[in-house]
Amino acid sequence: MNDYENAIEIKELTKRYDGFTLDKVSFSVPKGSIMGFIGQNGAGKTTTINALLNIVRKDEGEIRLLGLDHEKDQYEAKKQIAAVFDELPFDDRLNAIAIDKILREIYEEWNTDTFFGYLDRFALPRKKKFGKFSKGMKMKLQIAAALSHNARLLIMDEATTGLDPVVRNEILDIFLEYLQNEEHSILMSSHITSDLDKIADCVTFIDKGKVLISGYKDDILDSHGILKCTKDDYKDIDAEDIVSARLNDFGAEIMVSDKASCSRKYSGAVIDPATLEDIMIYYVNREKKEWR
Amino acid sequence: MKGLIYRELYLIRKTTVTTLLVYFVFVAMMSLVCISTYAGNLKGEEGVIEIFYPQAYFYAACIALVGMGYGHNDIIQKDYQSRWQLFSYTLPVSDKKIIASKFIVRGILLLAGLVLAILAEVIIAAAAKMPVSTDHIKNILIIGALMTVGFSEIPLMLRFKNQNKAAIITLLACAPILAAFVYFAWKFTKFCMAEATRLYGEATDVTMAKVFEPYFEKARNIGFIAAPFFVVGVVALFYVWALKEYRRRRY
Repeated sequence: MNDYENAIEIKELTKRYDGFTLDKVSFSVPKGSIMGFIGQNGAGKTTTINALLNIVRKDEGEIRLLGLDHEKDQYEAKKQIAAVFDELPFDDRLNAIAIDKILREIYEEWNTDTFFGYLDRFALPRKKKFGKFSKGMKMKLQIAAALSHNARLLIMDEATTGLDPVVRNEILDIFLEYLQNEEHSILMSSHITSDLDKIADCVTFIDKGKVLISGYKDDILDSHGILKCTKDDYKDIDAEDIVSARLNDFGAEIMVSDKASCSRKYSGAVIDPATLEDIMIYYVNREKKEWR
Repeated sequence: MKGLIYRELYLIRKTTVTTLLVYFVFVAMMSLVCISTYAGNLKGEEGVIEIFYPQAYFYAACIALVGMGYGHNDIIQKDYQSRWQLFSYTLPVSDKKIIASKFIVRGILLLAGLVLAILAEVIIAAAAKMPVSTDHIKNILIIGALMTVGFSEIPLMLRFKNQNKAAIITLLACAPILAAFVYFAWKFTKFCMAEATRLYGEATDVTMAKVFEPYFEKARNIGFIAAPFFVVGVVALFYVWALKEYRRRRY
């Protein structure tokens, strides 16, 4: 077994499409952690994940998965990786018994008992065709399949999008359980930041193909804050301290990226803690600087 | 790879069962017609079995060979729709094995079609109280070899993702070949008519068949020798093309 510190290491990943460029994306997912990969639709999350999984060929950059090169050692890496997409990638005419027969011939470490154990736990029928499954059932089935071949890295692209809060919570619990094993890691792309607020250890925020923030979630949340002030006070805030500002009739709410320094600099100002959603919204509007 | 083959066979089982039903009904009907020429209402009718028997096996063979491959035609389109095509890139299976599994399934279906076609010949021959024709079996094997052209569906579907689009492109590409074939058939018929008139005084079905038979015999013998080379060449060509298309990763 190869030794590695980071389950995923991406350096300077570049992929060019007509009208969109994934521009020198770099970040790492430490072994044993769950990384939330956030950004609005079209920011480049899926492109990054597709490049990781070698579904699209990168133009430049280096990607290592579980210490292995994602192209040269892709089959070795893929044995230990599970991918979960926003939609079930199995034909509607299949059922769970057929999927077990298919995947046990593909994955060396496929465990039928584990798979059916998850099905029982999720109360999923074995013989019912997937075409008759609800969206939540399909996602649970996909997760059951992903967790049944002893994968050490789970890569998920918008896996919880479109699910109701009850199912989402149930799935998030499964992920936390999966992470009890320190060898296991998760990269989870989502624009539902509340999920990541709950479970992520690290967060990478991508916008327009560029990584804006990447690091431990607590550090990011600690360093960012929303400074609330009147319109007059707003004029006195240094532009370099402002990520962007939401103006309203009474004053301004300003995202600052160095909360500690700002609280010293603007003593008396109220700086509220920021959530991941706040950070995402304010950073997306950073070019406008001021918005309503 | 076994899992991939199982998946495709599982997905086409409905169309395969339908094909088998149509095939058995057709063969049963043909057999009953043959039987009725000596034990039914066609008894005493001259020339019926001579005209009917050489055609019956051919249609049964067409049903078996075309029907068995039919279910597989849209599988890649459905794989794109269900996102299996995308998911397949995440599996610890090489591109070569993924493509090979599709060709193996296609090969299994072709072999099954050939077995059914030969079985039809045996059943219809028995019903007609005639010996199994080696010429008919040779024809079936040649038709089977020609059916490998249908393997082009794999690279075409990987490229165009859509069956209708792939069919239109295939028709456009095949139009000159079809036109050449029709032109050849027209010229050959004219030649047979002229030869029949020259040799036997008039061009009837019987005299034209006399002219036509030696050429057909020769073409069949050449086709029978060329068939294995044709099959290997066509399958190898489409396999390489399909692999190239799969590796393009159209996402």
